[in-house]
Amino acid sequence: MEADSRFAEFVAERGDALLRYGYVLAGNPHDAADLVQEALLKLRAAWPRVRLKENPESYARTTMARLHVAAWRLRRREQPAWDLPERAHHDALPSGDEQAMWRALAGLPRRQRAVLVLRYYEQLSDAEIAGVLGISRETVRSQASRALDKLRAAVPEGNGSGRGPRSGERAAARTGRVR
Amino acid sequence: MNDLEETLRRTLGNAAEQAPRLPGGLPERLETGYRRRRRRARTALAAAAVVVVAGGTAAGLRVGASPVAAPGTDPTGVSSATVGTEPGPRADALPEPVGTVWPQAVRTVPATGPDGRDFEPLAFIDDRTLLVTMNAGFRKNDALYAYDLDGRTFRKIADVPIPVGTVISPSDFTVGNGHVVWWTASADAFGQIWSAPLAGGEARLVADKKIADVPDKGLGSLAVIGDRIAFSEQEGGVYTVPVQGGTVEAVPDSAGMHLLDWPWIGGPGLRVPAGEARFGRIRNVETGETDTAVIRPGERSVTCDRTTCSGTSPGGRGFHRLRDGSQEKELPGGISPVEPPARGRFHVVTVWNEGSILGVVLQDLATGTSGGLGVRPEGRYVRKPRIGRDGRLLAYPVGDEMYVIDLAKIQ
Repeated sequence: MEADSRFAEFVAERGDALLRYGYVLAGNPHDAADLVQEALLKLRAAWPRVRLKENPESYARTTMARLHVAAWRLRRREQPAWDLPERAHHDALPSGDEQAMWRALAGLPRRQRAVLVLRYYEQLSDAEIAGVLGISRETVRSQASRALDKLRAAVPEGNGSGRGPRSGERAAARTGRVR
Repeated sequence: MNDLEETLRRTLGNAAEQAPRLPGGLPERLETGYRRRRRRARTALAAAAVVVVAGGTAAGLRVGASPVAAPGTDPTGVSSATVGTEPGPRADALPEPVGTVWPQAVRTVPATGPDGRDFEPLAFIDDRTLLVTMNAGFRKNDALYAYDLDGRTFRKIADVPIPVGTVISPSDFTVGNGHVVWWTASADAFGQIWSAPLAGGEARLVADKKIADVPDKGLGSLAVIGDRIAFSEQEGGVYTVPVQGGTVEAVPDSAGMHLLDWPWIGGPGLRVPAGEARFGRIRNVETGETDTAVIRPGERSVTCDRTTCSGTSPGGRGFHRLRDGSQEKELPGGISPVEPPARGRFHVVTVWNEGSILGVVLQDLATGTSGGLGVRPEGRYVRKPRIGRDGRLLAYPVGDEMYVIDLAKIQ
C-alpha cells in the first residue's frame, strides 16, 4: 500500500512537469505522452529500489532522455493510457523566431535534440549530460556544436515572424506518430 | 550565451508551457498498465519475478510453527475456511535458508555484471554455465551471454535483434543441441522464430510464420529437438522448423493443440473449459499413445504436465497427484500454482503471518522439506521468483547477490 500511494503521489505532483519535459524532448504531445507513460511504468516497476536509492524524478527524466534517443517506439507494446488533442500546440508560441526555432529542432537527429534539451532546458552541464545519455563529454560537445550549427543555418539571425503558424504544423507532421 | 542559444532556451521554455496537462486518474491507469505488463512478462519470460499482493481471495491454510509443515499435515486442525483469506500458507517463522537446507544446490554470485549492469539468468546451459540476458544499454538491444558460475565471467553469445514492428519482445529463450532459440511477434500478425549458436555468433531468423491476429498472442513452448525447433502457436497448432531455417511444417492432427514436452502435445491450452484440465488430454506424436488426466467433479484450475496434475479441490485446497488420479498430496500453498511443480516436486510459495508476508520458500513436495529463499518483502509486495522454463534453474537477486539454485542437484 505504501509503495502504491507514494508512487501515485509522485505522479500527481510531478507528472505535468515530466510531460513538459517530454514535450520539448519529443516535439509533439503524442510522443511526449508515450515517453512519460513508458518512463513512469519503468519507474513503477523499479519503485521500491529507486525510492530508497535514487531520486525518482531524476530516474524518470534520465529514462525519458534515453528512451527518446533510443527510438524506443520500435519496442513499444502498448498504446498510451490516455488520448491527447490533435492540435499543434506550438502554434501558440508567441514569436516568429521561436516558431522557426521549434521547426528547426524538429529536423535534428534524436540525440542532438536530446543534448540541446538537456543543456538548454534542463540546464545540465556537459558532464551531467554525458552521464544521462551514457556518452562521452566529447560526444556531448560535438553533438551540441553540430546541432547548434544546423539551428544557426535554419534560423538566420533577424529572421523574425516570417513563416507563420503553418510551419509548426509541418513540423508536427514530420515528427508525428505513424499509426 | 549567444543570441542563438538564448532563442533556443526561450523556445524550449515557452514550448514546454504548451504541453498538454496529464489527465486525472493517471496513477490508477499506470497501475493497470504496470500489472498488465507484469502479467505479460510472467507468461513471456520464464524467470520473471511475480509480485504477490496481500489480501487475495483464495482460502488460506494454516501450517503451524516453523518449519513449514510437510504436505498433507494440518497441525492446528483448523479448517481452511476459518483461517482467513491469505493466499498462501501461514507460519510463525520461515524455514532455514535454502543454502543451509540444500547446500549442494545453492550458490551465490554477484548480482551485477560488467559495468554494474543487471543481468537475468534464464536457464542452465550445462552444470556450471547459465544462459543470461543483459541490458546492453539504452541504445542497444539486449544481448544473450553465457555466464560461467565458477569463473564468474560473461561470454557474449549474440545480440537479440528487435525488428521494426515487433509487438511482443523476445520471449521463451530455450537452450538445446548447441543453440538458443526464442520467438518474437510483430504487429502484422507474424510470429518469428530466432536461433543463435551457443558458441557465439549472429542471431538468425529461422521462421516468420503468419499467426492468428489476436492481440498479445504469439508463439510459445519452444523446444530444440535434434536439428529441428518445435513450437506451438498460442492460439493452437504445433509446428516444427529446421534450426538452420527452412519450411515450417505443421505436426499432423495438431490443430488447437500445444506443445507440452516433446513428443507430447495436448490441450486444452490457455482457455480451459469448466470440468477440464490444462493439458488434460495429451498425445505422443511419435507413438500415437494418448492419455486423459483424471478430473473429479468440482475441481478447479487443474493444470497438468507429462506425469502430474495440480489444482484446487472443491473444498478450496490445493492438490498435486499423478495424471491417473493416484498418489494425491495436499499442496502446502493452499492454492494451486499456475504451473505444476517443476520436476514433479518443486514449488515456490509465499508464506504469511498475521496478514503480512513473511517471505518466500522453495518446497520439495517429494520430501516435505522447505527452504527460505531470503527474498525480502517490500510492504505488501514480495518478488516471488519463478523456476525457469528448463525446470531446473531458480535464480533471483537478493541485495547485491544473485542466488542460483540448481534443482537437479536436490535428490
